[in-house]
Amino acid sequence: MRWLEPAKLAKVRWWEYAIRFLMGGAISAAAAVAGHTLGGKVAGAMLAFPAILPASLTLVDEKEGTSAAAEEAKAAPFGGVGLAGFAAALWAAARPMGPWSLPAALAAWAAAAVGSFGLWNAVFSRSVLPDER
Amino acid sequence: MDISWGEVALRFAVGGALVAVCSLVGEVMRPKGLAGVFGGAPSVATASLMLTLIVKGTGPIPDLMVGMMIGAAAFVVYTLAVMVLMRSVTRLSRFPSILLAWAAWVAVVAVALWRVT
Repeated sequence: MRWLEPAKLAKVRWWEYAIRFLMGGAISAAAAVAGHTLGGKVAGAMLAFPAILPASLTLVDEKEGTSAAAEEAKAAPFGGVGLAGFAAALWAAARPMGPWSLPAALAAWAAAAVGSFGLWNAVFSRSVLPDER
Repeated sequence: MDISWGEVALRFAVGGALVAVCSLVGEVMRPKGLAGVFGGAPSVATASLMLTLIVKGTGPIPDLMVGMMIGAAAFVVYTLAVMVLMRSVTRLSRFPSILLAWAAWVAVVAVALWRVT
Protein backbone atom coordinates (compact mmCIF):
# COMPACT_ATOMS: atom_id res chain seq x y z
CA MET A 1 0.00 0.00 0.00
CA ARG A 2 1.52 3.31 -1.04
CA TRP A 3 0.26 6.78 -0.22
CA LEU A 4 2.95 8.62 -2.17
CA GLU A 5 4.25 8.34 -5.72
CA PRO A 6 7.64 10.13 -5.71
CA ALA A 7 8.20 9.03 -9.33
CA LYS A 8 5.66 11.69 -10.32
CA LEU A 9 8.22 14.36 -9.37
CA ALA A 10 10.14 13.53 -12.56
CA LYS A 11 7.11 14.57 -14.63
CA VAL A 12 6.63 17.90 -12.83
CA ARG A 13 6.69 20.97 -15.07
CA TRP A 14 8.31 23.57 -12.85
CA TRP A 15 6.61 26.57 -14.51
CA GLU A 16 3.31 25.20 -13.13
CA TYR A 17 4.75 25.64 -9.64
CA ALA A 18 5.98 29.12 -10.52
CA ILE A 19 2.33 30.02 -11.35
CA ARG A 20 1.16 28.55 -8.04
CA PHE A 21 3.92 30.46 -6.20
CA LEU A 22 2.74 33.70 -7.82
CA MET A 23 -0.95 32.97 -7.06
CA GLY A 24 -0.25 32.00 -3.43
CA GLY A 25 2.03 35.01 -2.97
CA ALA A 26 -0.52 37.37 -4.52
CA ILE A 27 -3.34 36.15 -2.21
CA SER A 28 -1.09 36.41 0.88
CA ALA A 29 -0.08 39.95 -0.08
CA ALA A 30 -3.68 40.93 -0.94
CA ALA A 31 -4.90 39.58 2.42
CA ALA A 32 -2.25 41.69 4.19
CA VAL A 33 -3.30 44.83 2.33
CA ALA A 34 -7.01 44.01 2.93
CA GLY A 35 -6.28 43.60 6.64
CA HIS A 36 -4.91 47.16 6.76
CA THR A 37 -7.58 48.77 4.59
CA LEU A 38 -10.81 46.74 4.95
CA GLY A 39 -10.40 45.07 8.35
CA GLY A 40 -9.55 41.68 9.82
CA LYS A 41 -12.71 39.82 8.80
CA VAL A 42 -12.23 40.59 5.09
CA ALA A 43 -8.54 39.62 5.35
CA GLY A 44 -9.55 36.39 7.13
CA ALA A 45 -12.05 35.49 4.40
CA MET A 46 -9.32 35.97 1.79
CA LEU A 47 -7.20 33.35 3.61
CA ALA A 48 -9.80 30.79 2.43
CA PHE A 49 -9.93 32.06 -1.17
CA PRO A 50 -9.74 29.11 -3.62
CA ALA A 51 -6.69 30.46 -5.46
CA ILE A 52 -4.95 27.22 -6.36
CA LEU A 53 -7.82 24.84 -7.13
CA PRO A 54 -8.71 26.15 -10.65
CA ALA A 55 -5.12 25.83 -11.90
CA SER A 56 -4.73 22.46 -10.17
CA LEU A 57 -7.93 20.98 -11.67
CA THR A 58 -7.13 22.29 -15.16
CA LEU A 59 -3.64 20.78 -15.05
CA VAL A 60 -4.96 17.39 -13.84
CA ASP A 61 -7.59 17.56 -16.61
CA GLU A 62 -4.87 18.14 -19.23
CA LYS A 63 -2.37 15.59 -17.92
CA GLU A 64 -4.47 12.76 -16.48
CA GLY A 65 -7.88 13.21 -18.10
CA THR A 66 -11.31 14.44 -17.08
CA SER A 67 -12.15 11.53 -14.76
CA ALA A 68 -9.03 12.18 -12.63
CA ALA A 69 -9.89 15.89 -12.47
CA ALA A 70 -13.51 15.08 -11.55
CA GLU A 71 -12.24 12.73 -8.81
CA GLU A 72 -10.07 15.53 -7.40
CA ALA A 73 -12.98 18.02 -7.65
CA LYS A 74 -15.27 15.64 -5.72
CA ALA A 75 -12.81 15.65 -2.81
CA ALA A 76 -12.32 19.43 -2.78
CA PRO A 77 -15.37 20.29 -0.59
CA PHE A 78 -13.74 18.31 2.25
CA GLY A 79 -10.78 20.68 1.96
CA GLY A 80 -13.29 23.45 2.72
CA VAL A 81 -14.53 21.54 5.78
CA GLY A 82 -10.88 21.32 6.87
CA LEU A 83 -10.42 25.09 6.42
CA ALA A 84 -13.44 25.71 8.67
CA GLY A 85 -11.97 23.30 11.27
CA PHE A 86 -8.62 25.13 11.07
CA ALA A 87 -10.27 28.53 11.57
CA ALA A 88 -12.50 27.34 14.44
CA ALA A 89 -9.56 25.70 16.23
CA LEU A 90 -7.32 28.78 15.89
CA TRP A 91 -10.18 31.06 16.99
CA ALA A 92 -10.59 28.97 20.17
CA ALA A 93 -6.92 28.24 20.87
CA ALA A 94 -5.06 31.48 19.95
CA ARG A 95 -5.45 33.27 23.31
CA PRO A 96 -4.77 30.28 25.64
CA MET A 97 -2.03 28.63 23.53
CA GLY A 98 -0.28 31.56 21.80
CA PRO A 99 1.98 30.54 18.87
CA TRP A 100 1.34 26.83 19.62
CA SER A 101 -2.23 27.33 18.48
CA LEU A 102 -1.03 27.26 14.84
CA PRO A 103 0.22 23.63 14.88
CA ALA A 104 -2.96 22.74 16.83
CA ALA A 105 -5.06 24.37 14.08
CA LEU A 106 -3.15 22.43 11.40
CA ALA A 107 -3.93 19.21 13.29
CA ALA A 108 -7.60 20.29 13.38
CA TRP A 109 -7.47 20.91 9.61
CA ALA A 110 -6.07 17.42 8.95
CA ALA A 111 -8.61 15.79 11.28
CA ALA A 112 -11.57 17.70 9.80
CA ALA A 113 -10.54 17.34 6.13
CA VAL A 114 -9.36 13.72 6.13
CA GLY A 115 -11.98 12.71 8.73
CA SER A 116 -14.94 14.14 6.77
CA PHE A 117 -13.54 12.70 3.52
CA GLY A 118 -13.13 9.25 5.08
CA LEU A 119 -16.53 9.38 6.79
CA TRP A 120 -18.27 10.38 3.54
CA ASN A 121 -16.57 7.54 1.66
CA ALA A 122 -17.34 5.05 4.43
CA VAL A 123 -21.02 6.02 4.49
CA PHE A 124 -21.24 5.77 0.71
CA SER A 125 -19.18 2.55 0.68
CA ARG A 126 -16.21 3.74 -1.34
CA SER A 127 -12.68 2.71 -0.39
CA VAL A 128 -10.36 5.57 0.45
CA LEU A 129 -7.34 3.28 0.49
CA PRO A 130 -4.96 3.24 -2.47
CA ASP A 131 -4.63 0.02 -4.46
CA GLU A 132 -2.31 -2.68 -3.11
CA ARG A 133 0.98 -2.61 -4.97
CA MET B 1 -3.28 52.98 8.64
CA ASP B 2 0.29 52.68 7.31
CA ILE B 3 1.13 49.57 5.34
CA SER B 4 4.63 48.11 5.67
CA TRP B 5 5.47 47.12 2.10
CA GLY B 6 8.42 45.08 3.40
CA GLU B 7 5.94 42.99 5.41
CA VAL B 8 3.67 42.63 2.34
CA ALA B 9 6.68 41.42 0.28
CA LEU B 10 7.63 38.94 3.01
CA ARG B 11 4.06 37.61 3.09
CA PHE B 12 4.15 37.27 -0.72
CA ALA B 13 7.36 35.21 -0.59
CA VAL B 14 6.40 32.96 2.35
CA GLY B 15 2.80 32.48 1.12
CA GLY B 16 3.91 31.64 -2.43
CA ALA B 17 6.57 29.20 -1.23
CA LEU B 18 4.21 27.30 1.09
CA VAL B 19 1.52 27.06 -1.62
CA ALA B 20 4.05 25.65 -4.10
CA VAL B 21 5.33 23.06 -1.58
CA CYS B 22 1.77 21.98 -0.63
CA SER B 23 0.88 21.62 -4.34
CA LEU B 24 3.96 19.46 -4.85
CA VAL B 25 2.94 17.20 -1.94
CA GLY B 26 -0.58 16.98 -3.42
CA GLU B 27 0.92 16.00 -6.77
CA VAL B 28 2.67 12.88 -5.40
CA MET B 29 -0.15 11.84 -3.06
CA ARG B 30 -2.45 8.89 -3.72
CA PRO B 31 -5.32 8.26 -4.13
CA LYS B 32 -6.33 11.23 -6.29
CA GLY B 33 -9.23 12.05 -3.97
CA LEU B 34 -6.86 12.56 -1.04
CA ALA B 35 -4.78 14.85 -3.29
CA GLY B 36 -7.97 16.88 -3.82
CA VAL B 37 -8.38 17.24 -0.05
CA PHE B 38 -4.74 18.36 0.19
CA GLY B 39 -5.43 20.91 -2.57
CA GLY B 40 -7.52 22.75 0.00
CA ALA B 41 -4.70 22.80 2.56
CA PRO B 42 -4.54 26.12 4.42
CA SER B 43 -1.11 26.97 2.97
CA VAL B 44 -1.81 30.68 2.40
CA ALA B 45 -3.48 30.90 5.82
CA THR B 46 -0.63 29.13 7.61
CA ALA B 47 2.02 31.39 6.06
CA SER B 48 0.04 34.57 6.75
CA LEU B 49 -0.98 33.62 10.29
CA MET B 50 2.53 32.49 11.22
CA LEU B 51 3.79 35.99 10.33
CA THR B 52 0.81 37.63 12.08
CA LEU B 53 1.55 35.67 15.28
CA ILE B 54 5.25 36.63 15.11
CA VAL B 55 4.73 40.33 14.26
CA LYS B 56 1.45 41.18 16.04
CA GLY B 57 0.77 38.37 18.50
CA THR B 58 -2.68 36.81 19.00
CA GLY B 59 -4.65 40.13 19.08
CA PRO B 60 -5.88 40.13 15.44
CA ILE B 61 -6.58 36.35 15.34
CA PRO B 62 -10.29 36.24 16.48
CA ASP B 63 -11.43 38.73 13.78
CA LEU B 64 -9.31 36.99 11.13
CA MET B 65 -10.75 33.59 12.05
CA VAL B 66 -14.38 34.77 11.95
CA GLY B 67 -13.63 35.95 8.40
CA MET B 68 -11.86 32.70 7.57
CA MET B 69 -14.83 30.58 8.73
CA ILE B 70 -17.01 32.62 6.33
CA GLY B 71 -14.40 32.16 3.58
CA ALA B 72 -14.32 28.40 4.26
CA ALA B 73 -18.12 28.12 3.93
CA ALA B 74 -17.84 30.02 0.63
CA PHE B 75 -15.00 27.65 -0.39
CA VAL B 76 -17.38 24.67 -0.01
CA VAL B 77 -20.02 26.47 -2.14
CA TYR B 78 -17.30 27.22 -4.72
CA THR B 79 -16.19 23.58 -4.93
CA LEU B 80 -19.82 22.41 -5.36
CA ALA B 81 -20.21 24.93 -8.21
CA VAL B 82 -16.98 23.60 -9.78
CA MET B 83 -18.25 20.00 -9.51
CA VAL B 84 -21.40 20.95 -11.43
CA LEU B 85 -19.35 22.84 -14.04
CA MET B 86 -16.90 19.95 -14.50
CA ARG B 87 -19.84 17.76 -15.53
CA SER B 88 -21.76 20.24 -17.63
CA VAL B 89 -19.26 22.21 -19.72
CA THR B 90 -16.91 21.13 -22.50
CA ARG B 91 -13.21 20.80 -21.90
CA LEU B 92 -12.40 24.00 -23.82
CA SER B 93 -14.76 26.16 -21.76
CA ARG B 94 -13.90 24.48 -18.44
CA PHE B 95 -11.10 26.78 -17.23
CA PRO B 96 -13.04 30.04 -17.88
CA SER B 97 -16.09 28.47 -16.19
CA ILE B 98 -14.08 27.44 -13.15
CA LEU B 99 -12.75 30.99 -12.95
CA LEU B 100 -16.33 32.29 -13.15
CA ALA B 101 -17.19 30.09 -10.16
CA TRP B 102 -15.08 32.54 -8.13
CA ALA B 103 -18.15 34.81 -8.39
CA ALA B 104 -20.01 32.29 -6.19
CA TRP B 105 -17.24 32.54 -3.56
CA VAL B 106 -17.29 36.36 -3.66
CA ALA B 107 -21.11 36.44 -3.41
CA VAL B 108 -21.26 34.15 -0.34
CA VAL B 109 -18.45 36.08 1.40
CA ALA B 110 -20.00 39.49 0.60
CA VAL B 111 -23.44 38.51 1.93
CA ALA B 112 -22.04 36.81 5.05
CA LEU B 113 -19.68 39.70 5.90
CA TRP B 114 -22.54 42.17 5.37
CA ARG B 115 -24.65 40.17 7.85
CA VAL B 116 -21.83 39.78 10.40
CA THR B 117 -20.45 43.34 10.36
